[in-house]
Amino acid sequence: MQVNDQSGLPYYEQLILHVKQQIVQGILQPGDRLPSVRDMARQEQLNPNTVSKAYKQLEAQQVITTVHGKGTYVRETAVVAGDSAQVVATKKQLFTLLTELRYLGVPLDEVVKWIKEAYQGVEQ
Amino acid sequence: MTLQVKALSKAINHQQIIEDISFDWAPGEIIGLVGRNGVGKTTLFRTLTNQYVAEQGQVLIDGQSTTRHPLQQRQLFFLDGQYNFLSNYRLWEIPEFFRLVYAQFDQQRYQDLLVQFELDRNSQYRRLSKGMRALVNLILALTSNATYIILDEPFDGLDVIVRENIATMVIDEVADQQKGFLISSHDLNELDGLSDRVLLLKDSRLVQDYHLEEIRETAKKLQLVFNDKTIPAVLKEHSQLIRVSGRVLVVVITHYTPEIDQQLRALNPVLLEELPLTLEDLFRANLAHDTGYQLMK
Amino acid sequence: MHNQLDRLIWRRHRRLFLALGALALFANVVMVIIALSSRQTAGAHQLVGASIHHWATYKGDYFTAYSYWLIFVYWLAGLLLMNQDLKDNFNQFLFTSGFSRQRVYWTKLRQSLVVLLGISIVTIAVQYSLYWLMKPHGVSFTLAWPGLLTSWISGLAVATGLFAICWFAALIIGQTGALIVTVTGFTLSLMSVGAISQPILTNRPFSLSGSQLTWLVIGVWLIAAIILFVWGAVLYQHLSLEHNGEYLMVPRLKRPVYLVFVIYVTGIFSWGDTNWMADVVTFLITVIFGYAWLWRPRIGERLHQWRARHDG
Repeated sequence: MQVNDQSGLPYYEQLILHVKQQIVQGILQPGDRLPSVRDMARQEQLNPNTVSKAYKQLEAQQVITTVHGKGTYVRETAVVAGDSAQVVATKKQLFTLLTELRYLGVPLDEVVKWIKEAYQGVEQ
Repeated sequence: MTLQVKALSKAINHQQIIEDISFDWAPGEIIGLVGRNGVGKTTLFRTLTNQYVAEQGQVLIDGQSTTRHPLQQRQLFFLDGQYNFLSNYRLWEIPEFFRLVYAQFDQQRYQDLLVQFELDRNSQYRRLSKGMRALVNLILALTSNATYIILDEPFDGLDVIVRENIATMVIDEVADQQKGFLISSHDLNELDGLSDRVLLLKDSRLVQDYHLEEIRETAKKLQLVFNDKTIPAVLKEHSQLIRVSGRVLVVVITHYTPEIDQQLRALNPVLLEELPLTLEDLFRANLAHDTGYQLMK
Repeated sequence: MHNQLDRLIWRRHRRLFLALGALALFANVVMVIIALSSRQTAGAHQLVGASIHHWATYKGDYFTAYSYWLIFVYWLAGLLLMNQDLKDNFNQFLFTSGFSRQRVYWTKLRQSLVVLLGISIVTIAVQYSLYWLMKPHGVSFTLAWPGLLTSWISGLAVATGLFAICWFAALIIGQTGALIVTVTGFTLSLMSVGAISQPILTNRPFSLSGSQLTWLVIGVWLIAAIILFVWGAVLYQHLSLEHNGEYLMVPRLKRPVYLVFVIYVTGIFSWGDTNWMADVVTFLITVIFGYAWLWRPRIGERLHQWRARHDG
């Protein structure tokens, strides 16, 4: 991943998304070990504090877990579906975006097509 | 343990170069220092390290002023790219000086890094190319094991691979929160990913202290076109102009709120598009001479 | 901690100390050889004259108790030890090293004087030994404490005084070329001062005897040296390196230096002169030149500072 400015998002959010994307696509499986904060920072040429913040959030969202002294791992249980508060918040964001798309005049079929693409793991 | 700069001021030949500079610096932070050429970044560094005697203000490390407690100066490392004494010495000789000042100077690592970067320990410093000298300066900075390290244009004149090596080394040093860096650079791309914070120096003052990830969350860069040629009040009040071409305005709004969004949409812009925001945009927004809407006569 | 600073300064200046020592030794050896051969030509049977028994600085044809080369080495050392650290930017390193300015100053001074004293002792030992070893059979080489002690003390006083002058000058003057010119000019002018003051002091109303004069001079040199060393320490504390490349590193000395320059040079040139026109001309030249030099930055200095500011 090359963290870039093509999205307007803070880098730590891009990193979070990237990890989640990799999990969704099966590149990262439950139990897989993530690079350490330091290694990830070196890899992406990012400030370690940025990476650290992303890892903390991922841990708070129960996507990853840190075993002290051993490393950071993708959580065994598939949590993403479970956390209802997060689903509600994300749904709200989705609805906002959908409103935007309607305003821009994008037809429903188009949007449905996009949703299918995302769920099939086609890289944008 | 923090380093605090309080109201530091320095005039040279009756011209105020830096004035009322204050900021805090903690280990684990990478701070970028950015400003136009000649604005006084190097003067700031020289004043921080007491090579220039400040007229006002002080530098405190762990609460102790570096002028009254000179020993604290050893926690701060700065090697002036232009005025350093290394010219006449060979690379193997240089540590002999530094280890007498920096108690934790890592001589082994110094030698290893020389080897890693293919620098001959017998070379005379002044016979090295500009890029190689910058590299030696950086190696000295890292092996001094001082807590607060100032780097003045460390990427200048270095090729892409070496730059990445340097960035990696800086990241490594910062990862365990033991050291902090203050980096001045014109390479905004490099600083963008690397820095937690960016200080903007303009007209002898520190005009901005951006925490970059925060800015990225709250700021937006917009491309706008309006029907009439007058600039909306909401823009004048909340945004900084980066570029104008014809009717197209490119602006940066540092705190983009839903209210601002509403107000903009209410004006029925012909075009309202979000663009990705980079450090370069922040630079332009603050430091271009023609900042402001004078352009839009 | 003392140890670290001492080692740092030694490491920095050891080549210089070595070179100075070598210079002193070499010059003295050559001098001995020349003295011996000239004695041979003259056919004298004594290397050292009878005046060595007096409490006065010895002056003789074939023997110098405290060589002028040693004095020159002290003079040179004062210049180089201060100026080199400025020119090579070692001051930057010293000022950020965590050692207090005062400590740096006095350590450097102490080390320099100790080393120079060592050089003096070794050189004198070698010199005297050479005389003793190389003197032909039948030629006497008799020394006596009065002359020797006085000569040594006098020599050291002058040497230290000149060292102090050069040391202080190199501290406050930021341009190497101008420094050399200033100091050389001043040192030479001291001979005029000597020539002017001698008759004044030996005649009425002071009427000093030769021996009293000698000790007065020694006292003056030593006091001057102490004053300059202490004053230098004060200035060193506040030295700010943005003045590198300017003539005066300490801007608030500009007026005093100007004043002293005008008065001193005019005084030297016009003493005892009956031609008042020449005196006025001298005065005007010093006024104009001094002003131009101190207050109108030269191209070199401007360039230096432009470059310094342009780079950040």
